[in-house]
Amino acid sequence: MYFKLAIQNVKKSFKDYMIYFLTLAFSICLFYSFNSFQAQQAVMELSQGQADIIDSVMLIMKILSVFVAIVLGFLVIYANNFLIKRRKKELGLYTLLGMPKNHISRILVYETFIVGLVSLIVGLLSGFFLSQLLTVITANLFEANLNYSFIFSLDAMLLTIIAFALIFLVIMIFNTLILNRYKLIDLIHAGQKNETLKIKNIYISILLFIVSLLILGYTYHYALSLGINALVHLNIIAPLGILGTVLFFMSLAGFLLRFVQSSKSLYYRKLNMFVLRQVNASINSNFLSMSIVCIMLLFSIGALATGSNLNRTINNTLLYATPYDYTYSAYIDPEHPMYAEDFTHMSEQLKLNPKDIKEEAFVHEYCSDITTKTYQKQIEALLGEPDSSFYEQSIEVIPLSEFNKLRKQYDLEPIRLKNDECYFFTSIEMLKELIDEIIAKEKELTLYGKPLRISNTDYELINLGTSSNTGTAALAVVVNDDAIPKGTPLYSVYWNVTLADSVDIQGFDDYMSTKINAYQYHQAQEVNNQPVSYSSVTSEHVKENSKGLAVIMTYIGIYLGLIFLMASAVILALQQLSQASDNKQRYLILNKLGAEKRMVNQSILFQLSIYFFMPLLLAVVHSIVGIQVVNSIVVAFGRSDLFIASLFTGGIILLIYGAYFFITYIGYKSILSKR
Amino acid sequence: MTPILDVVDIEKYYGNKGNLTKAVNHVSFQVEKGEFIGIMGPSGSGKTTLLNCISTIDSVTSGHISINNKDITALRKNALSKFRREELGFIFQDFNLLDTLTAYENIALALTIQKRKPSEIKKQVMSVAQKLDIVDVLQKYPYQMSGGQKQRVASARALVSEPSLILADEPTGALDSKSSRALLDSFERLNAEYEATILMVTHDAFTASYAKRILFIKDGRIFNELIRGNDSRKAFFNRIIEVETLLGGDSSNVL
Ligand SMILES: Nc1ncnc2c1ncn2[C@@H]1O[C@H](COP(=O)(O)OP(=O)(O)O)[C@@H](O)[C@H]1O
Ligand SMILES: [Mg+2]
Repeated sequence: MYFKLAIQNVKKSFKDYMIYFLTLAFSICLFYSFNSFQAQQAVMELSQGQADIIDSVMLIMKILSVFVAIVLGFLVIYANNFLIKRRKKELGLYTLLGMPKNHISRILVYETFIVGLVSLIVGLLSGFFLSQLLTVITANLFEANLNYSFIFSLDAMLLTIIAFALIFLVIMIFNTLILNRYKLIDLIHAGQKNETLKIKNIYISILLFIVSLLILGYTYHYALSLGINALVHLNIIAPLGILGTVLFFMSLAGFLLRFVQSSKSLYYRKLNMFVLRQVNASINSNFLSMSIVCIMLLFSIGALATGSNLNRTINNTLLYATPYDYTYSAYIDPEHPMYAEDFTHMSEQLKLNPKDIKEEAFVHEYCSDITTKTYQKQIEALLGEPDSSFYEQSIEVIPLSEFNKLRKQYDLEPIRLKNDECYFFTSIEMLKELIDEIIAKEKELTLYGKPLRISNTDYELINLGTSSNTGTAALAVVVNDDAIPKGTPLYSVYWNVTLADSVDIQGFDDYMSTKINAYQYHQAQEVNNQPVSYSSVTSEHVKENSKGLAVIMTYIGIYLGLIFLMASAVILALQQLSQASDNKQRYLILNKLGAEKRMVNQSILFQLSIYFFMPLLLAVVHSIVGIQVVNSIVVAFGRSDLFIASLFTGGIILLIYGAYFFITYIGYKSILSKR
Repeated sequence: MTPILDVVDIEKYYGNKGNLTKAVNHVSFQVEKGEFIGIMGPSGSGKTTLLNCISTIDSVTSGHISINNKDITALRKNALSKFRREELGFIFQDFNLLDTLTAYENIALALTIQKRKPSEIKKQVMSVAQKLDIVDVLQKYPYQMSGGQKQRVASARALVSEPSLILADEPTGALDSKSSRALLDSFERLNAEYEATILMVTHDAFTASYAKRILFIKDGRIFNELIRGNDSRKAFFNRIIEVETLLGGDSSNVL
C-alpha cells in the first residue's frame, strides 16, 4: 500500500521531481561516460606509447572517479533536500493524520527508490550515447584512427550502479534523519516561517568571519611557502581550506548584513534592506552548499587552467627536449665505476653503418668530489627538506668542449671559460630558482681540490640529449676539459646521434633495441660484470609521448573542470529557482506596496549576483593561490603560459556560469510573474 | 470640496463571453477627505474586486476612478506603481508582512520604496509606531508577533507614508475579537485625531459598525447606504443587522 502511495506521490509531484530527476540522470550519464573511457581504446588504433599512457591515465581516472562520485553524491543529496523542502507541508499532513513517522520515511524510501531506478535507466541510456560521442572526440584528440562500433563498458555500468546505489542509501538515511529532526509544527508551518538564523549573535558572526579570514590567510601562506611540496601536505591544507571556506560562508551573510546596516543610508536605500535580509535568509540555510559550490569552482578553475595550460606547455617543451634524433644515455652506478673510454667506440661496437649517421656526439658527465650537500642551505630554504639520499648525489661535471657542441645543436653561442672559472647550470626548470640563488650568492666552488670562480650570472635551460624526462642535468658545472683529472669516473653518459636524412628513425630504433642488449652484455663481460642501466629514446618517441600525455591531461582537466563547473552552476540554479517560488509571496507584497518593476528586477539581479558570484569570487582567490602551487608542477613539464590559460579558463567559466546565471535570472522572473 | 475618491460607473468582468462573471456591476460612489467608510457584503459579492480596482492592483473593464482628481484608470504601469506607493496605503486580511524583515523594517520598506531619506525614515516610523502602540514590537520578526500585533504593524506600514487614502480588505478577518477591537479602535482614533481617510471592506457587521458610513454591496451592485450620524456604535450595529436581514436571504454568509 505504501508503495502505491509512493508511486502516486511521484506522479503527483512530478514537476517537483523533475529537477531532482534530471540532476540524477545527468550525474549518472556523466559518471558512466566518464568511466567508459577504458572501453574507448578498444575501437581506436593507438600506438604502443599512446596505449601505455592510457593505461596509467585510466588509473588516474579511477581515483578521480571516487572524488567525482562524492561530489555527484552531494549534488544528488542536495537535489533531494530541495525536494523534501518543497514537500514539507504534505509530510506534515501525514503526521497530522496520525501516520507514524517510520511509515512516512518508508514512503520516502520507496519514492527515492522509484525515482532512483527511473533516473538510473534514463541516465545509463543517455550515458551510452554520450560515451559514443566522447570516443569520437578522444580519437580526434589523439589523432588516432577509429574503427567505429558501438562501445559498451560493463565495468563502467557496474561501477555507476554501485556508486549510485551507495548514494541512494545515503539519501534514504538522510531523509529519515531529516524527518526525525523536524517538529510537526515546523512541517505544517513550512513555507510560512522562514528559516531562522543559524548564527543568532552578530558578534559571533563577525568573530567567525574574522576567524575564517585568518584560517584562509594562514592556509594560503602555508601552501605558497611549501610550493610544489604543498601536494604532499594536502592532508593539512585541504581540511584547513575547507574549514575556512565553510566558516566564511556561514558568517558571510550575517557579516554583510551588519556591515551594510552600519551605513543607514545604504541599508535604507530602495530595496537593499529587503535583498540583504533575503540573501541572509538564504545563505543561512544554504551556506554549506555555497561552500561546496565554491570548492567545486576552485577545482573546476584549477582543472581547466592546468588542463588548457599543459597542452601548450608540452608543445613548447618539445623543442627543448629533442635536440638529437636518437640518444642513448647510461647512468653509472658509483659502486661499479666506468670511464669515458668504455663508451668511446659505441657506433663501431654496435656495428652501425657509418653512412646512416650524420653526426654523433658524446656528453660525459663526471663525478665530482662535492655533492649537493654543499648547497644544503639554499636547497632547504627553497625546496624544503629532501630525502636524505638526495644529498649523496654528486655535482655533475661536464667538459666545456662537449657542452659547447651541445649548445651549437641548440643554435646557441659557445661559452668561454678561463682556467679558474666554471659555469653553473641545470636542465631542470623546477630547479631554476635554486640555481639562480646559488649563482647569486656563491662566488666560488672547490672542485677536485681547486678553487673555481662561478663565471655566469645566467644560463639557458638545455638538455644533454633527447629525453622524455623533465631534465637531464640537475646541479651541473661546466669546466675546461683539462680541469677534469684523468681517470675520473663517469656520473652518466649521453650518446647523441643525428641520423642521415635517408634513415627512418623508427627503423633505426628497432635495430638499436636488438643490438643494444647484446652490446650491454658484451660490455658487462669486459668491464665489471655489471650491466649498465641505460635508456634510449628517439625524438619521435618523445614527441609522441608528450603529445599523448598532453592530450590526455588536457582531456582530464577540461573534462573534470566542466563537470564541476556544470555541477556548481546546476546547484546554484536549482537553489535559486527553488527559492524563487518560496519568495513569490514576498515579491507580490513588494508589488502591492508599489515597488517599480525595475526596482524589483534590480533586486533580483543583485540577489542572484551575490549568490552566484560570492562563491566564484572566493574560488578565484583560492585558485590564484592554487594555480601558483600547481604551476610549479606544470613548470616541471617545462615552460608555462599562464596568461593564455587564464584567458581560456575565464572564457569557459564566463560562458557556462554566465549562461546559468542568465537562465536563472530569466527563470526567477518568470516564476515570480506567474499567477 | 472635491472628493478624495470618485468612483464613476465602474464595471469589472471576469471570464469570457460564455462564462461571464460581473464581479463589479455599475458601481458609483464618492469618499470625502477624513471619511471612514465601510463596504459590506457577503463573500463573493465583489468587495475585494472593487477594492483591487481602486487600489490599482487590478484594472476596470469600464468606468473611471479618480483619486485626488487623478484618473487612475488612464495611468500606465510604472505611473501606477508610483501612484500606488505615494497616494495609497494597504491593509490586507493576511497582513502581508515580509517574514524576513523586522517590524521596523517592514514599516520602513514602504518609505525606502519611495526613495525617502534615511533620517526621515526613522522619524516617521517611530511616530506611526507610537500612534499604533507597537513601539515594543519594532525589533521583532513577524513570526514572533501575535496576529493583532502583525495587523497593527501592517497598518503602520500603510500609514507611514501618509497616503491620501487607506484601503483595508477584511482587516479583522484573521483576528480574534479582542485584537479586532483593538485594531478597530486604533482605526477610529486615526480617523478622528489624524483625519486619515479609510476605506474598509468587510463582511462582518461588528467590524463595519466602526465606520461612519456603510455601502452595502451584493452581486457586484450597491444596493443600500447607511450613515451613522450621531448614533452610538451599538445602535449603528443594530441598524446594520436590520439592513442585512432585510436584504439578506443568505444571512449565513454574513456571520
Ligand atoms: N481573478 C478572478 N477570476 C475570475 N473570477 C474572479 C476572480 N476574482 C474574483 N472573481 C469572482 O468575482 C466575484 C467577486 O469576488 P470577490 O471580489 O473576491 O468577492 P468578495 O471579496 O466580496 O468575497 C466572485 O464570484 C469571484 O468568483
Ligand atoms: Mg474578499
